[in-house]
Amino acid sequence: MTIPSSTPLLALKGISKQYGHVQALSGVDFQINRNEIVGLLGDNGAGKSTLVRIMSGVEFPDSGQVFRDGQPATIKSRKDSEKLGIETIYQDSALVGSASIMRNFFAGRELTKGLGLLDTHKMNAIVMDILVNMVRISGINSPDILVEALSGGQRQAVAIARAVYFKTAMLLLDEPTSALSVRETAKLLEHLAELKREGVSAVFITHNLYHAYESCDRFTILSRGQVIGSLAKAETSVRELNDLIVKY
Amino acid sequence: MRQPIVNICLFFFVLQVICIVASLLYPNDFRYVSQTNIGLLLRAIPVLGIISLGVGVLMITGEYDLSVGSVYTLAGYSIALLFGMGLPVWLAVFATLAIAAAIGVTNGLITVKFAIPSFIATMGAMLVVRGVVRWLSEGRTVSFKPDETFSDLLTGSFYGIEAPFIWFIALALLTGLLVHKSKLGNHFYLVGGHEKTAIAVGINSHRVKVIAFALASLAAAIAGILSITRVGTATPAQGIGLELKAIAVCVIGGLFLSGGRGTVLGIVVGACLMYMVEDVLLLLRAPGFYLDVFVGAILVVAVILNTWLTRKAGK
Amino acid sequence: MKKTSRREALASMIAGSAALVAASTMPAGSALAQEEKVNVTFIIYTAAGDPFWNPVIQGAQEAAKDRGVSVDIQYADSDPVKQNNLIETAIANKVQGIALVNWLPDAFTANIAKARAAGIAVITFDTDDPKPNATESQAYVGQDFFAAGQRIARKMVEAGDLKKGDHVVAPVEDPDAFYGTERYRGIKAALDEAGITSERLDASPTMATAMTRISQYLVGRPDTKAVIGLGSVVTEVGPQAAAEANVTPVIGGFDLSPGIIDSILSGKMVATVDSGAYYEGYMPIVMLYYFVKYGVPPSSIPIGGTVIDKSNAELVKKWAGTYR
Ligand SMILES: Nc1ncnc2c1ncn2[C@@H]1O[C@H](COP(=O)(O)OP(=O)(O)OP(=O)(O)O)[C@@H](O)[C@H]1O
Ligand SMILES: [Mg+2]
Repeated sequence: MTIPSSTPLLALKGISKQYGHVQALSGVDFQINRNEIVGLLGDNGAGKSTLVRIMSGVEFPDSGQVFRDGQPATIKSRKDSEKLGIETIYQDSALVGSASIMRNFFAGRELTKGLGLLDTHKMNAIVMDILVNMVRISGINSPDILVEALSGGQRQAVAIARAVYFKTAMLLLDEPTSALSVRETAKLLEHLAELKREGVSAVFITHNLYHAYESCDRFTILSRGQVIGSLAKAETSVRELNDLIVKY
Repeated sequence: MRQPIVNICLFFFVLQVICIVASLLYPNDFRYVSQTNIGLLLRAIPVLGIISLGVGVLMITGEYDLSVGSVYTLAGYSIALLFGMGLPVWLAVFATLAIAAAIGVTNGLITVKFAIPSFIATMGAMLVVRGVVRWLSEGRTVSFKPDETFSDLLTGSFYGIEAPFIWFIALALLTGLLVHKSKLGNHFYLVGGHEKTAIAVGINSHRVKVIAFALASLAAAIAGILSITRVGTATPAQGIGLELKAIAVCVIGGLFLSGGRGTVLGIVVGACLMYMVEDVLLLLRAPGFYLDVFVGAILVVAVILNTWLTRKAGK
Repeated sequence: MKKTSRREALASMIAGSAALVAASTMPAGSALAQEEKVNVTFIIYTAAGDPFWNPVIQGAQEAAKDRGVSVDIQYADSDPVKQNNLIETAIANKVQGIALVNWLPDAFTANIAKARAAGIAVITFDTDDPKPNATESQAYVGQDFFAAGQRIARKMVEAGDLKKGDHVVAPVEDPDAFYGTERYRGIKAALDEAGITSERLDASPTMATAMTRISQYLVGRPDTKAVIGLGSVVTEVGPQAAAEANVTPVIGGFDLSPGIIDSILSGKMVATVDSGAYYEGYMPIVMLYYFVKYGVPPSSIPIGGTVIDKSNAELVKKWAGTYR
């Protein structure tokens, strides 16, 4: 079966989510198209992270539907989202600091030699290959380095390398640049562009509209749990985005 | 992950060398390298050592088990009473381990399902299990006198090495394989290191923790069986305080109270060090009535030293 | 207070010398004795479950049955606050007698006085304040720990043929335990007299640990000529500890347990000291009863302290756990 390229990779329709008395999302429509980086924008508490958590299966919506390539789908767990090709890099917890690069890289998807025993040798080789040849992060010479010993940028690079290796279709990045230096941020934006060239779509959450404008193809703006606009890069400007967010 | 263990091994090695040299120089005053003393150590270390292996695995996942001392006692009663009722000894062992595993699973489920601190959940279990022991025992001691084959296997010696120590090392190797070389082991570290992240990558952290709780209880029961086979009697008051000692052993061995770090080798060395300290103190004729003063002080110094060396190496 | 006891004393005189028999068997005596049982609260200081108390409870219950006493057995979980609460509850419930273990000097003095002021009879058992007349408790039924310590020490000196300059170790389960402190005082007094040195060892209540510690001590001090356990756990593991340390000191201690009796019968242990546990339960109940009914004043009874060795261990074995 061939899917027309106009069919969105992932489409969410009428998603609502309530936390106690807080209506975090109400009737949100959201979509990710092929080969596209979507900027998910909005003020603090707008519901951006909630939407990401729903797409990655960590939270389940109160109502709403999900379509993958036009087909109805359910995302009830991390395993489901993984099957749909969704990978998430969280605002606060992309990697486990006390574990090594390799063990983070393959976390939850370890290669084994049977009997549940790890194929450490093979995993180490893969990690080094990806880190050195694809993501090209400097200063990492061993897969055994603990993640806590890496800089914020190196950490994001490891998380991105992981997404590259596992052939993710959609990468969700929740404020990946919040802890990064200027240089590291530039590097990350570069990685994003590279990912797109390799055919990976992405959702990019950031409070920095310049970064968003620079790297995204389309913008969806949330305010108090509702979508207040979805604009293509060509039809908008940083200024207009700013006004939209501030006005509501 | 490597640094603290290097330090503690070095510390242990240096102490060993000092003790051995001192013992060779003054064989009559400090009988460290005597067959009797080595035999004693090899028999004494495994009880706390095996409990610590289980507690350590659980600590790696970021949880505690305060009920291991009670489970240790219950296991002694369970095997003795079941055997006394005429069950074949191996069946009694199996049933005892099954009971322990069930307690561990219960601890785990209560902790994860109700999202309460394991400190509290297992403190409850500690009191409940001890109460059950009182009820089972009616306060009496029980004796356990299995046939020779069984007791030789658990407490005899092979080629001059005490059987309990061989069991300890075998279990340590098995634990090492599980923790360091298996997929589940990797999940122990990830869940203990940062549970939210572990969940985000699709690890079922509840399942992982429940398994770790079951292992902690199992280890305590194995130690309980080993110990009653050696001593022949169980009393209701025994085992109190073992839970904290096991945690201390793990910390000496470089495990973190916050989880996510540590090695099985560290636990083994920690257990050896713990008993070595007591042993050396008694051999040096430190006042036995105030032994805790010295043991306590040395434990703190050991952990300070380890932490300090680790920090230094980290810089 | 005086008035009540005098009246009751009078009553007992009227009942005459047959009172003893009358109270337990005959419907005669006072009508009161028939209708209302004497209520006694019996406070054991540890948590429920310590095997040591089995004969004590048996004694208390048999005395209650014999005399028509309603006895309420309570446990203080080794907690002085809880024990004080239990005493206050008993006072509030207007029981007629309280039997308790005064295991912590000064901790219960006030409440004992309060109970006495409320007209409740009080008897201490098992352990008492070492200062004479420190509390208003009317009598103490229990081992004289100091004397018992002296007795076992002398027995060990004789059995092990200990001489001036020899060394003895006394392991204990809990260094803070009062019984251990007092028994050791007695042991030390007797040994000092003979010029024998001694030391206590904190061995822990866990058998495997206790055994290891005693063994390690004996390896460190192979010149140790005797091991005297201050409580039942350390006494029980003594023989095996010595065997594992490859030394042959004489071994003895305190209390009775199947393991200890077996060791004595097989010659691995020289002797132990009986605590007279059955009477610790029986006598307080009986004395409280006669005091409440007839004003017969309770009086202290030193019990236990009998040295059990090969010559009399067989009989102990027969009744272990119930009467011994
Ligand atoms: N687990 C939770 N329990 C209760 N309320 C929650 C929870 N998570 C989010 N919320 C609430 O839902 C709303 C949306 O939160 P969300 O984290 O999605 O915002 P956000 O757009 O990511 O904000 P930020 O830019 O600050 O990260 C907020 O009002 C928040 O307080
Ligand atoms: Mg957010």
